[in-house]
Amino acid sequence: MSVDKPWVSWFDDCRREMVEQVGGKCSSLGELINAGIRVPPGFAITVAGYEHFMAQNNVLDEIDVMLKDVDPQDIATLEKLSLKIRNKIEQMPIDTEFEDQIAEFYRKLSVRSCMPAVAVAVRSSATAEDLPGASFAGQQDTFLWVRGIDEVLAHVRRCISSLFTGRAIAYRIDMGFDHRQVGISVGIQKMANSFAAGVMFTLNPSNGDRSSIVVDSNFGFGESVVSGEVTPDQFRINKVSLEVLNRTISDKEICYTVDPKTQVSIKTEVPEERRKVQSVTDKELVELAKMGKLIEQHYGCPMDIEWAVDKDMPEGGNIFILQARPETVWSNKAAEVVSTAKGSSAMDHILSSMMAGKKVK
Amino acid sequence: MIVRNWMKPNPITVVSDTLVSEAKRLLAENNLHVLPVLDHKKLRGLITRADCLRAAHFVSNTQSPDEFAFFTERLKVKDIMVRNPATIDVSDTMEHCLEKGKQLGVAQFPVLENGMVVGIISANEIFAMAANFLGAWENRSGVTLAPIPLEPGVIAAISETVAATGADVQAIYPIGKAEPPDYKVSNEKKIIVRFLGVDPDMVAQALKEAGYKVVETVAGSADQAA
Repeated sequence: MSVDKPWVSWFDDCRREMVEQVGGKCSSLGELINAGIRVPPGFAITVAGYEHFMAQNNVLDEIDVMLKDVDPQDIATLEKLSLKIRNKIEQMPIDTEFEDQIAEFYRKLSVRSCMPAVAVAVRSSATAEDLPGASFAGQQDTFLWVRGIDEVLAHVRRCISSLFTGRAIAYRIDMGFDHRQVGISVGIQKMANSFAAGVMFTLNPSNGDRSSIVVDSNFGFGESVVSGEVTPDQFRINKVSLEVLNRTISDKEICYTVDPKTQVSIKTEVPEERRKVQSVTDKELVELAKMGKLIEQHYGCPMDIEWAVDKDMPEGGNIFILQARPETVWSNKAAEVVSTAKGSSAMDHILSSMMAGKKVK
Repeated sequence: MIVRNWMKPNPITVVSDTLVSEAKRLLAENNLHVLPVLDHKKLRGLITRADCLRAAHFVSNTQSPDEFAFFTERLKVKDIMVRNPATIDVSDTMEHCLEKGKQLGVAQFPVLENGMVVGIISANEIFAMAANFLGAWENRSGVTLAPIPLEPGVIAAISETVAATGADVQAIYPIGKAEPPDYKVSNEKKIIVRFLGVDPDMVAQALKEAGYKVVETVAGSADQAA
């Protein structure tokens, strides 16, 4: 391992421009931490770490042979091959040196979090995922509430193997990417023990209106919202006055939470009496909107943000940002020209558009 | 002074799959500070009493019965042990061991011989060494002199002065005033003299008359009993 290409790296040491080294997710988490946003601490297994892991046993050669001449349209064969490759990767041992490095970071993270064998989320952070313009997200796996170094290592392998799902393989063949060239990084982040969680857009995703912030929320971990398994509560907040303009409290049937006895993440029914209760407080919504604005300001574009309210933390310090990426749907559309009037100065432009009138959305 | 002669040989060890609660019990029952963690006879880490106590402290802070259960039933040594710990070789000198400990700020070393753990040096062993060194149970009387340049012949001269009072000189330790790296530029040392058989005030008087500055006298109980 060389100094400039570490196998493991703290989020604090990652930056936005490090997508090549630590993938989209980890680089943006590092960027957020360094921008002063409250993000649960964690570390990344870098692409160099992935390459070191894959360099053992010539596994890439074997994969090459297996995927030679495979037809990307033949889903059944592809899935069968994918399963074989993934099993192989998941059973590959991590060498002692690499294991010790990961374990030492995990130990330090635990000490920092004041919890022995702290529960973490293990997420893949692909180098091609989340890039503006490439909606590649969701192809890799996320594992919640992982505790103990053995579990962490097992899930790191599962994240790495998720680079070889049938869909990912087909996508690469279609796009003409080489399986050897792609890399993956794995983020290991302290798990927010969330009371409520969800996503937030710093624009209105239904019409692209940039003057409002839209928050989707459900009880428990944010996965139920991200995956679309529930209809979440939805709030529209004025970006300037931070007022809640519009709220839809929906019937939230299920949520993801931790089973304290077994210490694993489970999907559970929301008790009848809580199902139609607002999952976040208005105070938290305002706090969220403020954080959303900060992040948007930092990145300079509308953002798609995952967040959580941690029930172990005191009010005022309990809202955490788990992920932020530039919003892709509306950002890729060309800005609509409001007025066709040609004016030589800004004032002319404003006046002419006022006189022409504008449809209010 | 070679590590082999001062270490605790054949230390109690654990494997990395041991439960932390079990390691904690071993540490407490055997009054140990540290357990080397060995898998397949190879050193993988160290678990200290401080690590165990810290983990227990974190858990008790949560006041959650589920966390207590996780701690006692599921938390393993491999989750909290320090990996790749600093070690010393069985043929290193104790001086090297002490210096390394001071440098790294650690108070324990597994002792290796050909890559295998053969012993341990922890606070217990250092304590024992210091006690041996000072003859702690001999109850010697003593005088400490203010720092003087340690030139050739100084120790011999002091020894003669003390012996002339009829005292039975047991040991003379020059102790540097400064710590590294300053000690290299100054050769001024405090001189600690330990002896039996005469009143330490008499010895102090003799040394003062010889031109030394006395900063401390200790009356050992060995002489008082006699």
